[in-house]
Amino acid sequence: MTPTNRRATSGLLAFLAWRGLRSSPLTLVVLVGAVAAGVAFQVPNTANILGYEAEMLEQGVKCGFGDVRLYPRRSRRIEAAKATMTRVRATPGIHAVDAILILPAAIGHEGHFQSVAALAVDSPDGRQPFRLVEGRLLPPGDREGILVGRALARRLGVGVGDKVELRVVFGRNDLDEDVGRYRLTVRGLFAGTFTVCATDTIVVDRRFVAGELGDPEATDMLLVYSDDPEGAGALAARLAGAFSSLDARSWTEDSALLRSAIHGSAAVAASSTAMVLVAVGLPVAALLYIQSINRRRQVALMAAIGIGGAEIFIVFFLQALFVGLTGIALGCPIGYGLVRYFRAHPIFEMEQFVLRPVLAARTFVWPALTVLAATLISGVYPAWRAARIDPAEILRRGT
Amino acid sequence: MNEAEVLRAEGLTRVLGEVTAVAGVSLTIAAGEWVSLVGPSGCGKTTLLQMLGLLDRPTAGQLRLAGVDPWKGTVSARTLLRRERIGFVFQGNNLIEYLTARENVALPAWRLLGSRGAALAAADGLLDRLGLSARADTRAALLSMGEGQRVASARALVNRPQVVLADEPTGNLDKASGEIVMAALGEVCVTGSALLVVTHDVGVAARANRTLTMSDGRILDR
Repeated sequence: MTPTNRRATSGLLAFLAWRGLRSSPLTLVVLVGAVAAGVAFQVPNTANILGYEAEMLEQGVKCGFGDVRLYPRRSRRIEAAKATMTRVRATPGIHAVDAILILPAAIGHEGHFQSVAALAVDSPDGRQPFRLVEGRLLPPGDREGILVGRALARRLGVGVGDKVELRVVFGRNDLDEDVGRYRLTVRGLFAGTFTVCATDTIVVDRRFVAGELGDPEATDMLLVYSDDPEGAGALAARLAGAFSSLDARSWTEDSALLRSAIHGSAAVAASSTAMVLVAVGLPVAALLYIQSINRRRQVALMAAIGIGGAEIFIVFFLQALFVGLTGIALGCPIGYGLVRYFRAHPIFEMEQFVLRPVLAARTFVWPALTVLAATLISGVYPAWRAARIDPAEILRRGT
Repeated sequence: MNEAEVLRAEGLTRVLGEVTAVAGVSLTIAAGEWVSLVGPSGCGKTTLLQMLGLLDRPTAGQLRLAGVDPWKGTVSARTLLRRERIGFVFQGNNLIEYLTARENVALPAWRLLGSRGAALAAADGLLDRLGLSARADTRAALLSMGEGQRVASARALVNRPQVVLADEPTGNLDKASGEIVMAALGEVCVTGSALLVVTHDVGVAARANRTLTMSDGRILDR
């Protein structure tokens, strides 16, 4: 067969497929509607799930404890923390490193105290392990300022500019009551759900607290930001190799809650995709199968006039392809509209955790491809049945 | 096989379940010959026609079409033989109902020639000869029985086959329509093709060069 003939034959098969589909408008509408509905559902669903994951990673990694966390392997605190931090910052692929000292503390206002975790932070690269929502950051070496989690501030009844009491338990050796007492000004409020929790955490300057502790280099952990959450495992392995005294953990190893939440989200996405595939695939398969049964005589006639079994398969398979592509073409704009709606009206909003659907190419590509695949797979069996019709039997029986 | 022979069957047998529909039929059809096949309903005429048209595999016996044993070839080779060398007119509902008359006629030619334009031109010529130009763009489902059978005849002829196999082509037609159909089918013999017509119509059978009578799956006389 010459290329021209092949093109002409392809045109003939496409013509037969299209005319066959068009001959039953109601079936065509239902078929396309099923695919379009699947895409229109799956696009905002994917966008929301991507948005949920992105927000979790934003809070837990990018505006949280970073992609990799470095802990001392044997000692209580990181030894030679300043030099170590400098070396870590020089590692390729790392955008920022924070030094963190965590101490138990209590914050009080008007006589009411609440126990909190005091996060003493040193951010030479300007990357904070929290999201500031009000006020301003602490200037380096600030001895009089404090940042308070917004939920905690609400509970205490304090706002930016208010004075609070802070008690920090230093817990140095041989001291039963080794508590620092400070009166600080609330410089800002921060939000956070994962790793840094706005309900029971305060932030102070590390150099100030470390100075009070008597160990200017005191650092419990280094937070490493590479802005590549998926590559965190590899980066952790590299850092573990380079720094034998440190225990390097990727965010997936270090944050069970975040990891579980992401896994849960992926599981929800997978089961949702599976449900959509079934919801699209079954009716499409059923309708195409019924069509192939109803058209047995037509198929037998095609075979009799010299259209081969493989070509008959292609005719029916092309019908599935037409249905899939048309359904996607209709479903994507509907899905886009729904994504826009959910961006304006998020389905989940708590404190600073706002689920904003992700509007990106993959929001459309993945649902479109999965639904198209479901449609094509659904078309295989009906097409195969049509191609295997025995024309003699059908023409002998008359149906 | 004689050069003039288009079709030769030797001992063709077809068993359907426990019934022997065709029992050891031997026949030859020469180029340009019109053969009528008559016999009571259920005697195996349609089954024989389907075997001769390569739609049904014989249980036993041999068949040669233009010197070739089609059942020794591949499925694709038989499809090609049907496309190039055989024209069919079936009983009753005979057209792809969602296509127009013109498209139905053009379909085998489009597949054979690989050109939609040439196929439609050939279809237009045939429909014109059969008095159906005005109905060319009518969907097959909306054609009358007579019109449908004429369109089916045109489709059988569009690829200038070596043999035309027609199963009761005038069975449901009025006399005038039947005449048009048989005149068109009969013309193939003038151009050297063979025509085998299964019919109950004595008038149609009488126009043939030869009439074969079938009973209980066998050909009784020649």
